[in-house]
Amino acid sequence: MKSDIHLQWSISRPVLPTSTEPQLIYALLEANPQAVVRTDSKLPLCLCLVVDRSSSMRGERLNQVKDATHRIIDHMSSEDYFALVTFNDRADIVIPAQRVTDKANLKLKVSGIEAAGGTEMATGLAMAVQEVRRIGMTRGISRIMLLTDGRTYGDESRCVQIARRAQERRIGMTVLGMGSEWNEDLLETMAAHENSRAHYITSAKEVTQMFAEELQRMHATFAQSVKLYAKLRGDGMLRALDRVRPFIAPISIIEEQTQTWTGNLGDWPSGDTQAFLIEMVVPPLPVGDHPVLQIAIRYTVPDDNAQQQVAATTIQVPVRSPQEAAKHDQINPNVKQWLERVVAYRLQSRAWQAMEAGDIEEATARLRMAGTRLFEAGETELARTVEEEATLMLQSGVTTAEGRKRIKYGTRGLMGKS
Amino acid sequence: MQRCWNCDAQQMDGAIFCTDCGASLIGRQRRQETTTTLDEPDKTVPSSAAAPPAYNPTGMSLVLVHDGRRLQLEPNTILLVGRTDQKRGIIPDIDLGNYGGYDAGVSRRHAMIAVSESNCTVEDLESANGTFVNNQRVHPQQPLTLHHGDELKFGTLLLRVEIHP
Repeated sequence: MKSDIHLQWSISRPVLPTSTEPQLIYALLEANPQAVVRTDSKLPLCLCLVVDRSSSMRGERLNQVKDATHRIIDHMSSEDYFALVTFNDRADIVIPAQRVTDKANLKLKVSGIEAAGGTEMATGLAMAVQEVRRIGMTRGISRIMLLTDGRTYGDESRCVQIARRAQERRIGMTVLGMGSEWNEDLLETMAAHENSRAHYITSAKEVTQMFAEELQRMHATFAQSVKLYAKLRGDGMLRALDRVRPFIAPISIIEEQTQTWTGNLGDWPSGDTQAFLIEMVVPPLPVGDHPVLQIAIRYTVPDDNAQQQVAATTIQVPVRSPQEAAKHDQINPNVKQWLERVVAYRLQSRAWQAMEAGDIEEATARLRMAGTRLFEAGETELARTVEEEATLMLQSGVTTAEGRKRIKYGTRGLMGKS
Repeated sequence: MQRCWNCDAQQMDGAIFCTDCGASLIGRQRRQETTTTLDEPDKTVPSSAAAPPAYNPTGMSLVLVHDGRRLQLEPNTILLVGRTDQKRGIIPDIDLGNYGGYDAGVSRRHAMIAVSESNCTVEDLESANGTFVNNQRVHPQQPLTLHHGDELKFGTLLLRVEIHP
């Protein structure tokens, strides 16, 4: 039995004063897919691992990847498909896409991988896409997981092109960067699609956990190609849309029709509560209760012949006289907390841009303010890391690759701590 | 409209944090504006880009074979050869990123060159595409003495060693 996604919303201020000017409202939209009860077994999965086996992976890193891969194979069922592609200077299909029936044999092939040579990613990716498409699953989830600790030379744009082609064919990508030397711009660009994500792994030991989490998430996918439609009343404007749970990420929005904005929200696993922060500008409104924003979330269910479903809600805003509104002039703490984190995320991201442009002063100021926001949002440990990097940046004009990655991925993944 | 107490940027009513600088706009006396212009005050932020390193015009130099450019090396120094990566905070002394280093496969931290009064050595820092002296690959982390006229290759970027006593 399936039920709808349950939507809940709250706005930044309980009451708005009448005004002659437009006003900014922040709305937190929470979507809870946990209401969905599945009676059938886990969704079948077609997973292709793409593993960097260049020299730098030699030793503990590759061993951990092999262990993690063994565990993935253990967790897969005979309904699932598995493929493994490795790459260094060239790419090899170690395990062509096949049902996970003979686990011992698959593991034997995984164990045989050896590290050597350089890094040429695009061919490996292209082979992975080919393997996943060869299976052509109509029901279930297709995914490519890429794991690398280095950078590829000269084929970056091909990597991005291949990733986009796969993503548009509903093949999501999980990109795992290990250590601090990998090209984060490339991996982030490759994962910059709503059905994909990038992770930062500091030690090889985290690989197993990360693989297991991703596998669980994929098996639990219940809504695919989730898309938000937001129809704003009158002369208003949807200014920004950010995902805040399960991780922070800006979502690009377009005004698809007059006063109707849309944004792609990717694939949703049933275990994750999804939450979004909406920034909207409302025109001057008279005293009264106004249904300012109509929200519809459309999605398809992967095991139900791609049947489309819709969840909808309307955000109401009470508008009162300034005197009356002043009595209720308090900020919703939950909305503020998530907004504070989004602001911190934006600030650190602008800090790196300023840094790239050689503007250390501005970069430091942005990073310091990000630290303040994080501190006030209760993220003291991360705030301290930010402060240390800001100091280092100001003193020496540089930051550490590790600190930068910690901040970037730390500000994004602030879930579950509130 | 209100103005941010921290950066003076105009902000919409209802804004909780300044969209410009990120400062909190609540819990402080709001500065109301009567104008609705969206023009923000000009902000001029001084640039503090690092100056390129200066080299001593005597002693040892490396000549880029493909364009004849000469990189002069200061004596009694240890120089990092690589490519600048501002984002990662890697600023090598000899930045080959400006000379086609990326396409030639030069790593960000590729090699070290140590210049003393009497000799000069190169040490590969486990670069991805290797360091070569006269087409022989240098063992990583084992300094090798360079001589006048040696051909030095970082990845595929070819340089000629010139040492003038």
